[in-house]
Amino acid sequence: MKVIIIGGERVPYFLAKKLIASGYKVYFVNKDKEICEEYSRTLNAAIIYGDGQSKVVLDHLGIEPDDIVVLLMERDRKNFFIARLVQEYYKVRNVVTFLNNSENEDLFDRYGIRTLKVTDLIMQNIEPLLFENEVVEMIKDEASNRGATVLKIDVDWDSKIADKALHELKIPDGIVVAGIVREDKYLIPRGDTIIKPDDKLILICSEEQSKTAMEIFFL
Amino acid sequence: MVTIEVMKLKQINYRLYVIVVGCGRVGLEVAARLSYIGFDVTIVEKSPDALSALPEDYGGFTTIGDATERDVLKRAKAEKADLLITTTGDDPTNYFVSLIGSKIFGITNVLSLVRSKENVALFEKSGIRAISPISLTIDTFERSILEGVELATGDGK
Repeated sequence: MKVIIIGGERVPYFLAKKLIASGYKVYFVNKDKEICEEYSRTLNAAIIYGDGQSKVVLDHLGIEPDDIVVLLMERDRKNFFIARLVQEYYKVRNVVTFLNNSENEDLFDRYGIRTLKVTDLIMQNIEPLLFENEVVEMIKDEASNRGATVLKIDVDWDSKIADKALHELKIPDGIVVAGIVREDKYLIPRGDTIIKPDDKLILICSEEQSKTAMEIFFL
Repeated sequence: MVTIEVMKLKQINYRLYVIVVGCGRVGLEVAARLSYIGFDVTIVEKSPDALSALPEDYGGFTTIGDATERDVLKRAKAEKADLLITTTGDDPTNYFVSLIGSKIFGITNVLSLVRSKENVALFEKSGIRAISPISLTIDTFERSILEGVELATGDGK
């Protein structure tokens, strides 16, 4: 059994390295001449310079049904085309591909092509961050020029407020902790909520009180 | 041949709805011709400039956008299409759009231009009728040559 990686720039390099280290035979197909030359020097893999979308090129690889084909081309339609070629002509059972546009998942599923939904993965990771910024921006919009201000405070592990309950901080009137962003959750704080390192605190306070707020939370 | 079919359809008062993807030299002519003989036609093309090459009397619709994206095919009302014709210059694109048309939007008749002869088999296996300009040209040549040979040998007798 061999692993055939088609397309891609850096991902195939590290992928191939790991696979080779685990004892697999790796084939790498790319139509970029420079990448092929570089990898032929640095990787102990079979490097094939050519367009993976062409059956003539694929025919050279001696692909067999139990080989694993990994598709890393930058376009869904290219990956789909190659996936179908190797399924039809060499009866390959296991095809894994990058998927940029997740709405195409249904078509890949239909043909039993496994997909790595890159866009979805990135979205899942940045969504909490986007949400946090949205909240701050929204409150800022409402508060600005109306005598209030919004502060965002990152809690470090050595911060003096870390591991304390909010009520211990003796927060004066005119300062409100509106929210705590903890990992991918937005917490609505209460007096007994414990602040933890890596939390992000969102404060709303009157402009006069912002200095006091900084003193309480930072100094 | 096509026109007889169209006449029949006209008699039963049915207008075929055709989506043509790609407004290159082939797509343009196909869309214009089908519209001229009475089909309802929408041509999908991502470059607005290419659409300006359509003849002035083209009576069909146009949809601007990349046909590999679902919302573009939805805007072109793909779920209502009787026939999908893909004519872009890239075989993987034609293949991808053809299969989204047939498998996702349920279009029963799909015709595709296939640039590279070696790809014809894959299209046919996937239920897409493939039109390969190179194969057509070679077939035509072959037929003309054989006819010429027949004439020559016939004269020789």
